[in-house]
Amino acid sequence: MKASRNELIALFKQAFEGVGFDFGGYESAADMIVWAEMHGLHSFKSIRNRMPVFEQRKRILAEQLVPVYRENAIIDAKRNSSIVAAGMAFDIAYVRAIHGAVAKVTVINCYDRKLAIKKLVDCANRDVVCLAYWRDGEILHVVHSDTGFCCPEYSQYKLEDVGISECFNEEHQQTLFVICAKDVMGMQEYMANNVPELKGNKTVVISPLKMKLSYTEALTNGIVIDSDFWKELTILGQEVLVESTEQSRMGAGA
Amino acid sequence: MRSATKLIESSLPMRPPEQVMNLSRLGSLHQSRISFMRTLMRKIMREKWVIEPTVFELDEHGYGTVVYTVQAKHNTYSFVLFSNYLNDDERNDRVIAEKWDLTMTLCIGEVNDEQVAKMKENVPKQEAGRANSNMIVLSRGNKSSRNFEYVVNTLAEGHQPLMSKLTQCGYLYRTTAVYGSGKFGMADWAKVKSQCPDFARPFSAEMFSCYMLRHFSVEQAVSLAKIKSPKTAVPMEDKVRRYIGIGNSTGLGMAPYLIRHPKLLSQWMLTRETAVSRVVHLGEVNKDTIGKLENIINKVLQHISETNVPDAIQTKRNENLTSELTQVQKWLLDNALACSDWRSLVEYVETNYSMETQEILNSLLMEIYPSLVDELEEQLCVDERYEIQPNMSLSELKQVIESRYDWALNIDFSQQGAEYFFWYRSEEKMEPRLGQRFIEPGEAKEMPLTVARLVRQCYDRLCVDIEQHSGNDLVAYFLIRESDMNGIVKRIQTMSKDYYGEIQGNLADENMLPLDLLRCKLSFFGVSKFDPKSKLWVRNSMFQGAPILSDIGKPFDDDWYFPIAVNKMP
Repeated sequence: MKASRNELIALFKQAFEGVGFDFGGYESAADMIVWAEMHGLHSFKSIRNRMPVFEQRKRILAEQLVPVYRENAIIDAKRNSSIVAAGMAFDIAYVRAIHGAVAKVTVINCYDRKLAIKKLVDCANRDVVCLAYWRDGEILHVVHSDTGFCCPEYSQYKLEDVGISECFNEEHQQTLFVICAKDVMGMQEYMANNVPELKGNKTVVISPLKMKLSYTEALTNGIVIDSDFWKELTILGQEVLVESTEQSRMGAGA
Repeated sequence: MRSATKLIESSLPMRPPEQVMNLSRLGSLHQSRISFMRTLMRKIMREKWVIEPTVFELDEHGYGTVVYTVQAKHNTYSFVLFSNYLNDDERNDRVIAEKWDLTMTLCIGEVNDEQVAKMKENVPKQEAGRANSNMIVLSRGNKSSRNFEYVVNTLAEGHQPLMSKLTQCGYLYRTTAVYGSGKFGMADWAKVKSQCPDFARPFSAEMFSCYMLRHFSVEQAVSLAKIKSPKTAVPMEDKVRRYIGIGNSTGLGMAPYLIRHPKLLSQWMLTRETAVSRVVHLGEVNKDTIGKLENIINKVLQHISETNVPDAIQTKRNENLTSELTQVQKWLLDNALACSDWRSLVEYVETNYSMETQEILNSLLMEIYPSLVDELEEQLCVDERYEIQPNMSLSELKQVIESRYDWALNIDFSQQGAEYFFWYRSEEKMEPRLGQRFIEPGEAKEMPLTVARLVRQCYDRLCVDIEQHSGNDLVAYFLIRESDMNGIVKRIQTMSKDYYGEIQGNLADENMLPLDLLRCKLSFFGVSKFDPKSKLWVRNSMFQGAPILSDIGKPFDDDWYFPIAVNKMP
């Protein structure tokens, strides 16, 4: 089936509210997921796999995330989705960057890392330059905002091509690296000195233009969603609804 | 788009938000030149839209399918309408209804038979059906049975309906819901705004659908009269057609919109206040403009006298308005010529009369100076982006709350009645409802609409956090420690940059009148003849007095506000 952006945001918001996300948290989650789907990142598929986890672990909320070492800006997402942790990661990277030119935040034990891209775009809108990368098997995924365009570029590198990398460390199998710099020069300098893994041959997965075209297509013709997934989300959202009674009808002006 | 701050810094004095955003004042607003119906009509008339029926297949009972093709300035659209039989006992204006006399949609482009057939499967089901991304509006309407039958019978007998009857009820149909903005699979507002410039203003497509329903309602009545008595039936005269509007029934469901879209509300209020400030400070006072204001007030007085409302409170308000406007006229006679601008009048009215009179006067002053007001209609849209500012220190956030949300901090939530209501969504079509806290179930599922209480909670947590950490610590870290504050912090930080936007009142208070919220939004739509049916829902009239389709292309004075009947009586 096809649905509109507003409709899907409302649906996801209600579903996440239903599984215990707070005001602000469920809005952010819905926004990230629908944005990613509209920009061709196939977020529905990954988040659908994650929904039973949310449902079983109600109230696994952001306050349980601990910045393990505030000095080093490491956040332990405790096997949560990036829809919970990425916003904080970019916010911290941003405040550290504007006080010190460049900052890196490491989010360990983080899933659905592709969904963090919306937060990268939001952060870049604060007039800074943002980069995020993560390892998935033998592939390094990289997204950066410095495209001169409204959308970021999403690329991949083969780990075997990139030489020594922090990502090879097993503890970073589920890590999301977030970097924020005040300007392009600062980002380039930092990357040259600190992120050697990005020197290999990249394959552009989704160009900024392709992302923009994908968004326009979704806005113009609607967004495809599996009707069973739609039903699953609807059921989760029913948690926030209150049973109707004669008295409650009076509260609507009957 | 200019920001509030720039507007305020650069030019004329604006009324402060504590005055403008008072809930009772918002509940006293009236339609004005920048109301959406007014701006839409100006656009249609200026651009000479061509609107023709391309399908008009109604049976002898008036049931069937009708398609109007709309050639606007930039695009072609289709207004598709299905008329069905409805038992009298099934006719219900509430959102929870499942059948209606009419259902309709406005869509992009021309439609073919196949598309109409597909729509026929879904549009009559409304919320239970599915729309597509070419549809902009989905709506429905119910007959005002007695009025409709009266008009059909009168026309069939060869007479025009009596104005005295139409002043009792000036419409043949009532809309009970008008959906847009991506509901049920329709086109998103972002699409309408970027791809349908003809409707790229707030609620423009929704208003247009109501306008088309108004047109159809008369066409259907005329058609039925002709079928009923082909030899004696007469068409409806244009002056009568113009006096027929479309009814509207608005309930609590509209209220949360204003609270959830504070940036948009701020923009609307800013636009209105800019218009008020311009006309009050820049509008020249002379014999001509004084005469115009006197004439307009006379028209309003007649309009009120022709407004029949059973509600005792509204009747009292209308009586009071009549009395106060009469006194304003006396003031004009005695003082106006000595004034260089309208400040003296506004100050006099603010000192002596009700908010209702103050706000209607503001609307009326706008009518005298189209050149100061009409260009502002382009400023009614806003990019609704709400953002965290993670680099703000906690001391600064605290200061922002104390300075911009002092009204919220001043509410004592320990007082009896201060937390009387809670807002929730019912399982019945997710209808927003108000429940009594501690009495009705559902409090745990309360919607976050009581902004003042959320601000208070945030402020208290912030104060404790500052003690435990430091005022120099940053919001980014506060939101890790207090992540459930994310939503309200985002709102506070965003809205602190806007001048208006927050409704300054306790929306959980026992004495809160939801009707005030409805009235505010309806005034921006441009409705008239408020007819409250309880504290929670109100009937009103749309497009009464507006030009009819055959007026398009003719000279247009844009003077159809506060329509009156007497001089047009057949």
